[in-house]
Amino acid sequence: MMHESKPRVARSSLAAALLVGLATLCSSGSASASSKFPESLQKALTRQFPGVSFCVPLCTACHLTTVGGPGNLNVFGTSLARPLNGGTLPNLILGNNGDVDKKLDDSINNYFASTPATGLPVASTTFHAPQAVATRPSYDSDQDGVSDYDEFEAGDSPSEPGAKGVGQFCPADTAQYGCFARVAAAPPTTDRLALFSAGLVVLGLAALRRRQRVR
Amino acid sequence: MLKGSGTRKLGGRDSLRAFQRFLGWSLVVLFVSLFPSRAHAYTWMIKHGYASCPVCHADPSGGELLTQYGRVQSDELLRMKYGKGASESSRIELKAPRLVRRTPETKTDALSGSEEGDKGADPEAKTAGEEAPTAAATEEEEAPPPAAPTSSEESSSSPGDFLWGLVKTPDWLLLGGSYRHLTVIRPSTEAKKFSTFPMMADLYGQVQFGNFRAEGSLGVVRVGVGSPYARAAQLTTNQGDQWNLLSRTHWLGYDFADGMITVRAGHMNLPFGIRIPEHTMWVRQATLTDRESAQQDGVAFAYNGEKLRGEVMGILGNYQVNPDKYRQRGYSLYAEYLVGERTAVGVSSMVTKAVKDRITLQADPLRQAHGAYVRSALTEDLVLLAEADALFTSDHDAGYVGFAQADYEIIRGLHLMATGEVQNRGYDKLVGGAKTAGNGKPQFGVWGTVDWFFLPHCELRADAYKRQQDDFTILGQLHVFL
Repeated sequence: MMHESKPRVARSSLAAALLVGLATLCSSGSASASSKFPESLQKALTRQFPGVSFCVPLCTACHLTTVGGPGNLNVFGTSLARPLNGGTLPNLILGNNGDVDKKLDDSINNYFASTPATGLPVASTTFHAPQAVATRPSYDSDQDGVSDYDEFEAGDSPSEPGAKGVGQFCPADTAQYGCFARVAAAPPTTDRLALFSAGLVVLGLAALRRRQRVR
Repeated sequence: MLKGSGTRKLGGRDSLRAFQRFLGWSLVVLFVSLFPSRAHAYTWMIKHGYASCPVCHADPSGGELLTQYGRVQSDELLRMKYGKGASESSRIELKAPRLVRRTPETKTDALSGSEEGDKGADPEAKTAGEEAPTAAATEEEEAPPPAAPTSSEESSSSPGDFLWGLVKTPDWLLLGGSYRHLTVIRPSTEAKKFSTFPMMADLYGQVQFGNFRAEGSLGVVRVGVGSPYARAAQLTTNQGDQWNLLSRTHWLGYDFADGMITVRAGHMNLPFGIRIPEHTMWVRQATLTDRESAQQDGVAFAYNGEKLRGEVMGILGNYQVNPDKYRQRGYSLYAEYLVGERTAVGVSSMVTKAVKDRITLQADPLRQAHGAYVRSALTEDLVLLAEADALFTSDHDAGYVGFAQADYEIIRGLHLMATGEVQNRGYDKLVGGAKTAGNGKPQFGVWGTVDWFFLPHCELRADAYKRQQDDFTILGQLHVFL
């Protein structure tokens, strides 16, 4: 009897460990660092242009590809990351650490409040609140004669040259992925717990296999 | 039906059988209901005489789903051996089948639609050593038993069975899966220095009825907004950082000439270059031929002869990406010739055209990649992999990409790898500006890797790499493949 009951207890414990491990794996993070920048940029632009409806943009709002990442900036991203006139760096710092919303909000504010240094492409712009209401030169990253400020106000991209209405900031035909239904929202993230769980599952399965071999 | 492998040995108790079913299905369901993204094949297996892929993989060009024979060989040849006798057994070389053939036995059972051949057989008689040759017999019937069963292994379970032998599948069914957990450390970055996440959680399956085969994979993924990874393999349509179901491959195939020729239609890996598992290696990224999510829909013709193998695929686009303007169409192919017992050389070619590039948003991109590669076991323990491709992309100057990797197996199951890579994707004339590393100028990267197959179907891997214009990065990876 003792001989028969032992494996059952061991297997039950093992099963419990496996299931707990697998269940907690649900708490894992996403497969890549989730950039907060697109959403923060949407918020910053919405505060700057209250009358304009902005989408959560693709990384191509500031980068050359939809991958984004450090470097790899397009003309608008380069302008935004450039030291302001007088040598002051904007508050835009690489990475997702800290309050990204505030970083981008400050950066966009500084960007439109400052006058570009001599030699940079500019276009005359009439600013409205919350900027100081005035007409003065402002950044024209894509050098199409329409300032970045006016392009955003019209819903255009400051990285794509062209007249008003050309090169939308929120293009309607961006790539969409998948074939059918959506699935539930993401669970909470606890990365280290997930790693521990994965190890637990592996060890449990190995122990089970070993026990089976011994038999 | 799942059949507990230990049932007979343990007296067929209902409770134990029920437990095993429960455990098996729990693992299946939970794996399906969890996470995300990547795949694997070990091209350095050529040193064991495996120049051809279908010996161990369902895909005629290798990767992902293992055959029963492949699973046995994974246990026998890949993993570290422990304890007494390990030193003697660790260098046992198993002569590989020279040509893959689906077995008459398998076909007979499948064609009859009966599981008698499986159910009725004494499970104890189907040890690893007896079953594996059935799964991969050779033209000349010279395949030896892949693993000599020890006394401790003479149970009803076999390393060739699914889930470490816990689930025995009928001959017409192959099941597999892969879980990869990645930890990324970037000590010098100003951004996030540490992250750990499940990179891949996929299940694979294949059913075979006679010469007809149907294969598919199903996984779960969660990636950040704008991530280049996993998106193109999504089945569900969440575009943010929510969980998504994904399928990297799903195809129907038909074997001719005893499996020497396979014609497939569906969503498949692109036949191009060396199928390395490192999907972020430049040589796979620049050619858009990684197995992470670069698969395309199309029709493919694969040939696996004794010396020559290859595959050509007509690419119809990825129908998991919308709208149609982002779909690439064209062809991709490779051909490989075995020039010695353990050296193979190959050529690859690919041309695709789309209306718009989904990553760069470039209009009317025409992409070409043409190159050559070599896989060679220089010694019993040292394997060299190398590939060089020329890149021709519209609105870019001509570019190139390549890598060379030396893999040294110190002791069975423990590999040291050194990799060098270079790329110049061609100066982007649309963007303009100064030429930079990778964009008009060569860009270099070096990798150092320790890869440890510490348990059956379990791998721990650590990579440290430094690339020009990128932070020094350490990757730690746990990989469990079923």
